[in-house]
Amino acid sequence: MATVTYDKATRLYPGGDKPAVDALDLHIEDGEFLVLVGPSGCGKSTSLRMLAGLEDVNGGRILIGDRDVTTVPPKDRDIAMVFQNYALYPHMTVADNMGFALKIAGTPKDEIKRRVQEAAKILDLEDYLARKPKALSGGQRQRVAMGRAIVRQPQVFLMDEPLSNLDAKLRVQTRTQIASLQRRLGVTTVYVTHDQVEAMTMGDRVAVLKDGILQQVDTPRRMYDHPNNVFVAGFIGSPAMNLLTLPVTEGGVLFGDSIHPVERAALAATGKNITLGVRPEDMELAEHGLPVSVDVVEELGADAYIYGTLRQGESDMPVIARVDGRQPPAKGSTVHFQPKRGHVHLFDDNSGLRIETTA
Amino acid sequence: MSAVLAPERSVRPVPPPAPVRRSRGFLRRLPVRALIAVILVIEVYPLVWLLLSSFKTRREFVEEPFWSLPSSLAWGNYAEAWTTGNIGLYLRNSVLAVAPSLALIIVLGVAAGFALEVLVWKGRGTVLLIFLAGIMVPGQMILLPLFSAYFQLGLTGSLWPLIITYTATGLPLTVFMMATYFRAIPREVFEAAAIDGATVLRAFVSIGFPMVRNAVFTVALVQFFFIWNDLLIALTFTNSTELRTVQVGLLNFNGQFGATDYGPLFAAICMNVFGLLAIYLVLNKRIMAGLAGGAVKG
Repeated sequence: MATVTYDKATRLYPGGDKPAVDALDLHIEDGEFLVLVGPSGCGKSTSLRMLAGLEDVNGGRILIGDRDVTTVPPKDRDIAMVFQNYALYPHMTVADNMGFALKIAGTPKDEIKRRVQEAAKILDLEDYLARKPKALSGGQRQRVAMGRAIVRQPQVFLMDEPLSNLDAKLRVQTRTQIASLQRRLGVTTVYVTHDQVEAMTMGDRVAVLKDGILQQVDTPRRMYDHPNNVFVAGFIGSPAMNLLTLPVTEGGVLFGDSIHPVERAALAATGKNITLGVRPEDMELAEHGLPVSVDVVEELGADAYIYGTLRQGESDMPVIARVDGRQPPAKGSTVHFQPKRGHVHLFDDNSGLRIETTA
Repeated sequence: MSAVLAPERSVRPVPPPAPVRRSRGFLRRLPVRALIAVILVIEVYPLVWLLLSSFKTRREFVEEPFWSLPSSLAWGNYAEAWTTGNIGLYLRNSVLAVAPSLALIIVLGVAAGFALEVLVWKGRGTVLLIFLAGIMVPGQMILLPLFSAYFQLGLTGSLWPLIITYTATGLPLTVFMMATYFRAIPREVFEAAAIDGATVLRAFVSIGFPMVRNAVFTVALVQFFFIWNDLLIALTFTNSTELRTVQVGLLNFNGQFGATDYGPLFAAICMNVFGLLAIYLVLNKRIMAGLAGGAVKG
């Protein structure tokens, strides 16, 4: 068991002028499940591969526990990794796949056998130990890849989108299994995904990256309730938060034909416009407020989602709102929305940074 | 489900009566079958002719037309090829030249393919390019300079010139093909091996080589036939009867009195050709089995 620390870790690919990972500062506690999430090309996989030793670190340091591993080769870092395509050895049986690392380390044969058996029992793979990977289903292969990591009893687990090759149902099931397995083993885990639902449901903490720069690290709850900037606000949550560019007026923000009150101090530094974020479930139907013409109504039973358009000046802005599923507004009609009090996020229109308010 | 399928079933054409279809199918397939028959005759007839001729006596060669059957099985031809014709010695020379060359080509070629495709180092693209350039050098061009080099090194008079030349000319294609096969293996497999604690050598022996094993067999088979059937290089570098390989031996195959003796010559060719055919059939079966067994489902 160990902590993991990225200390201004930077990766610049040869020939590139912009770092893939830019001065990443991140501390992961012992036994913590940290999820790195972001859109493709954001540097999340690169960060993980830097920790694994598969990518060079061009600046800064990476520590596992108190040990600086920046230049240590992968095999000496005491880590185990689960790859997106599992990277099983096709010519070896499941048992040999799982025991390969121990075999190289010179562990006695009966010890290897015992530990492989143990891992197979945890992962329900006991009947498949003599099979080759090609005779396994996708889910079973995924479990073998997990088993290969568990058998090592490493200090840190690294997982690079291990669920993205599974079908939707299996993915949800395996998601829970991995999370509970990690809690049980208590091994520090860094998990990479592009799926924000996976990030929110599995992680103790979530780190959002964009363009190689860390945007925010927080618990899933805090990330959802208190996004640091426009990017995090739009990325976390499904359906996504409504991010509306609205004019600033005396006493607050102009919200259709009403005014959303904001204290003067918070608005002091902003220009003419401000970005106002409201989650779909925090939009309420009202007499006055934001006029939205309804384009599509998605009825899900208890709830319905309205996909509409806010026409303001020359620009059209898409708006999503959750309403009561029993009496949703009709398609093509125009309805008014008000945000729930205390559930409005304000962001600077230029920098995209969060503006703290007391309301 | 059934509702969707039902209309499809009704529009399916009624199959025509069986005899009509069979004769039409036969006619349609006739050109293809005829073509196959012609190819088969072109391929097989010379072999049969070769085999039959190897049993003919000298008188039969002179007096009978060349397509006639032998009147009896003259096994003596084989004995003569072996004793007077020195075929045993030539076969031994061929094996002594081909086996080490092939081993070197495979060991060096597979290792180089691994190093060029799996390992990351500066200049590997250039090195691969140089190997590729080697494919384009015509063998005839380098023979004389090589001969004088071997002579100055004192290697002539042994099989070493053959072994070195075969290895050198066989490597470019082998390296190129092995690099291609290694490229097809996902990088993550080797990264997983590195994280599992494998050194480069271990990753090559335990992971890389087994994963391209079938490709190695295929390449080895192709190279084996190239080298075994080589005449030009062997002819250039063998300067005494004792060093002749099978192909050179067959070229200079003379009977006791210097005249070409067709019976024993055909017997000697038969030993070479059918020996190779047997090796090919055995290995081919194994390769086919290996390829099918290694197939990966998506």
